[in-house]
Amino acid sequence: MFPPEDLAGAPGAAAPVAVAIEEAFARSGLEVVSDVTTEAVLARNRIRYVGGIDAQAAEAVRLELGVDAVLITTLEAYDTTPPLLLSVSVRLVSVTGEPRILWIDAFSRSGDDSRGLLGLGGIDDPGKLKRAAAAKLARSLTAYLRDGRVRGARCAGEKTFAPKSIHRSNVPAEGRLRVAVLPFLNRTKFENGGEIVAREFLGQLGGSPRFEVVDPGVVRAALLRQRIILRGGVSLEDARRVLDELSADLVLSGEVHDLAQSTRGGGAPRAEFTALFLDRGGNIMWQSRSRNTGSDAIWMFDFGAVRTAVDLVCRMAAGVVSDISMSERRVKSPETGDRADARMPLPPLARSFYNRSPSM
Amino acid sequence: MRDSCQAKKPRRCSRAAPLLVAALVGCSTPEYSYRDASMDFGSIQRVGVMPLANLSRETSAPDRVRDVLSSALLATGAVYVVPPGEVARAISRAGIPTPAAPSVDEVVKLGQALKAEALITGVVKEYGEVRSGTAVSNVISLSLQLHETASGKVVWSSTVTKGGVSIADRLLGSGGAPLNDITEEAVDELLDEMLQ
Repeated sequence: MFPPEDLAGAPGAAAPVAVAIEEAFARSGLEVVSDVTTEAVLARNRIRYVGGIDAQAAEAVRLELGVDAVLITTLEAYDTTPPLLLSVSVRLVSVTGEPRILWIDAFSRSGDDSRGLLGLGGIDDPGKLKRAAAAKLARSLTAYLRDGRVRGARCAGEKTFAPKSIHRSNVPAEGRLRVAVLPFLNRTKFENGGEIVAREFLGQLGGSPRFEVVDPGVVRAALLRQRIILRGGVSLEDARRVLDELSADLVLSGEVHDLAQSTRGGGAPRAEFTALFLDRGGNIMWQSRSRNTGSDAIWMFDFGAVRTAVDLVCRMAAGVVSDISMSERRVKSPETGDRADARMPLPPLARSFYNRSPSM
Repeated sequence: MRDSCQAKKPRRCSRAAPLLVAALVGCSTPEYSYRDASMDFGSIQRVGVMPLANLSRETSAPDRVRDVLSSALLATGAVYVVPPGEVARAISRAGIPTPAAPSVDEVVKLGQALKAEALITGVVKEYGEVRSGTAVSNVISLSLQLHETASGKVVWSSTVTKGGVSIADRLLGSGGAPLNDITEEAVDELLDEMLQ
């Protein structure tokens, strides 16, 4: 188990969460190599990045620790002031050959999630929240190891959290697509907003049978090798270089414009981002803009409320992935014939663009 | 030389009597629009959206509006929008000091680099909260220009203002429509006008 990656910006919080998870995994009967031994190997091989694993690091870890896979833990949100907050994701990455994500799952909960009558269901003890996270993740991993199916931290792709505007073009109707998820441009006050949204997409794409996701460690190594710095977004040349290097079909990137956590007695969590899939030809295969708040799915009193920003992003990312996975709808345009179309209906005024009359 | 037309759109609120109502209710400001009558807008298939200039107090306003604009434009299916990262790369390679207001030569150069028939530039003039007495609401004021990259000329230009303090905001203190909603409304109105 790798030392945890901290995207929550909560110094000292990630290690106890990882310990709780490690203990739960050990209780479930998994043989987990101790933290101290793993850290010694990482130090010896000068492996500093713990948010993913590249091929070189995987080989070193495999040889020195004699393991088949590593567990990579990411702390995405943590707050001990009421309402308590914990968002953590764990993934199992194979270290035999090229690192491959075998299983990925997440836990995201606020202490207020199911407060219920007289507040009896609320969680006010951070230790209890950590134990709940560890138990849920251990159950999920054990289930994966038992039945061997690829599992992902999939949120329900509810209609409420579907993207607000979509452009799709030439989305292959079938076949498995290999996707490299690049960090999203972060335009929020959250220090790691871009990384958090990218990780949620990783979970959703990883859990979908349509996609095979490249581990972020492998993507990061490719970006470093190619000396690619993503200023102002991914350019077509950068996309092509990444796709060639990783033998991937698509590159996913985007921009995060808003990411805000809920506050007790205050506003619901908010998130707004754009997701952009570029294919090998440098074309935008998919672009969508999503914007939601945690109160969007409330149907009565507080039922349906989403209380953590990470959970909200998870549902929104699930909305995007589920829309991409949907079979293509095709519409006729007057000039160009069949074309893959956006979910939004073509406005009548836009049709004039197809009517290329010389008199215009 | 091509003929061009310049039109002032009809005022949303007519002049005399409703002026008082308009002052109370809040309405779109007079909008100005220009459209090159001889331009074949059907020839535009690929468009680059340049970073927008910001005259508002909100530093993130141009990025947010640009994002809404690019997504909305792509979602119409009418044109292909060059990814923002590619635009950033072209700007950097061409060494354009003020991408929000490119010169004619720079528009031509960028058009060649992006293989785009047109570029969109614009200015976010207002974005955020507006107060009138105790009433608070959201407002956006945005102007866009479409440059033909073959000649560098502006072939379409328009401005729109959405939101503002309405009578409901005054009476009920509702705080107005969310900023995102009025941004989408403003962008949709401009695109409808551009694509007509």
